[in-house]
Amino acid sequence: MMRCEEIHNHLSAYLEGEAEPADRLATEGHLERCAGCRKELELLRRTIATLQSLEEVEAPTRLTAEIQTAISARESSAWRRLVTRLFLPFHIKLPLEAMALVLITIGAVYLYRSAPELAQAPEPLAPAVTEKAAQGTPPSPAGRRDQDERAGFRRSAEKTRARPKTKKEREALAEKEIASRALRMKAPAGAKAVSPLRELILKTQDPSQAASRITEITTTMGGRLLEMREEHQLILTIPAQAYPKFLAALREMGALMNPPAEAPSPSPSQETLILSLRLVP
Amino acid sequence: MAERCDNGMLPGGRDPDHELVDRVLAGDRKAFTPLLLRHQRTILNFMYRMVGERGAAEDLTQEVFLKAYAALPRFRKEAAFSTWLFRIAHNHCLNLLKGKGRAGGETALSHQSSNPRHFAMLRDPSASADQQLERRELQTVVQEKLAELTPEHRAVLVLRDIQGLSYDEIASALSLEGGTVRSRIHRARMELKEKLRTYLEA
Repeated sequence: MMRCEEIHNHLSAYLEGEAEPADRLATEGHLERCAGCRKELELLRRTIATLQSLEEVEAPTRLTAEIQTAISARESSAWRRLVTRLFLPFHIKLPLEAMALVLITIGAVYLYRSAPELAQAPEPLAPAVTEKAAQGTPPSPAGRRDQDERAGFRRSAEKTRARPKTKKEREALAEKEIASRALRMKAPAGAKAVSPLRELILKTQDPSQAASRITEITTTMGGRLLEMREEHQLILTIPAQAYPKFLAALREMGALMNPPAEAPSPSPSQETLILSLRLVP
Repeated sequence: MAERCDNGMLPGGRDPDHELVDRVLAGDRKAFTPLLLRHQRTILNFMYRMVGERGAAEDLTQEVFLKAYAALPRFRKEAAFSTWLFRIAHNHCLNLLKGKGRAGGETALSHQSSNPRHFAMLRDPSASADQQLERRELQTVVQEKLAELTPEHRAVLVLRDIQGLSYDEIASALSLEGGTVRSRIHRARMELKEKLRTYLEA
């Protein structure tokens, strides 16, 4: 026989007609005899009835609109989040862009400096090399690289200029550069003025030997070797009076391809000539 | 209410809401409105009985539908849409109540009506206008006692005795075994019965 506590455990199922047949019979038997459990059953029934009688609240019409608005807002904010993720906010984007710009600049400078074309680009005239050349010692490629390093700063300032595309353009630019520099800073002591650059091409059997010889002659005649470029191109100064003698000396070594005026008719303002002499085999 | 199966669907495994769900998922956003109109009252009432405050219940209802809308691609249509919605509502509400320590007591309801006589009126549908006013006050007392239960006990009583869900629907909504649901409902009723004893005996 079931005790009261056990009966209490079955009251819900009994009330809802969901009790197992055996449990239902046992509960009914107990309830007939036990007034206390009948009361508990009644209180439980009232509890359920009370809950069932609670009034429902009505959904206000604005609730539907509010929910729809909230869903739309959520959708658009989801879209905005996606856009933000793709295109970062400014406070992150700007420093990133600035950093990228700095890196690109550094990369560009590095590439420019390590580019092989750079060797053929116009270079400043370092006094040490010029002195060495003036003593008849052509600068070695290593020495030239050394000079490159020293001239790095000035060259980086020059890099903003449009880079010449062909070798011919580069050479033309180089000569122009040398002439202007020579005009500014390389006039021999005592010279009052220098003339514009004159170009000579000497065809000779042994350009290397001729280069050494010309360096000697230049110094002897009171001139100066400003620079010796690759492919036996010499940039030098010669006093105007010594120019005919200099040409004669060149003719002894080979044939002048572009014969210049024999007498350059020196004027008081042209006491020193700047020559670009190319030696070709 | 039409007779529903264990999982809350109509006989034949058909749920008219599923078609609307499919339309929403296919990009027809407007198809969510009939779902909203059909179920917002039920969810609002569930929330109202859970938190006891109308404004909070509306906010929670809105949050439930937002969650449901976002989770719609994950709705597998194994149960009725309403059952699935109750699951979201139940989880959302319990997370909130447990997270904020609002499990009962802290409702916005007034605590003025404690007269046992009012319970007799609550059971009497033929009450006068004055009696009906008092009857409305009574509702707050039941709500107050309901709020003293744990959220888990309160939830099953709301679903079963107020909203009229079947045991199986509740089991499906709460992801619980049927036996667990039965015993939980019974314990919740017995607990509420004790809290209301003074009033029920009047």
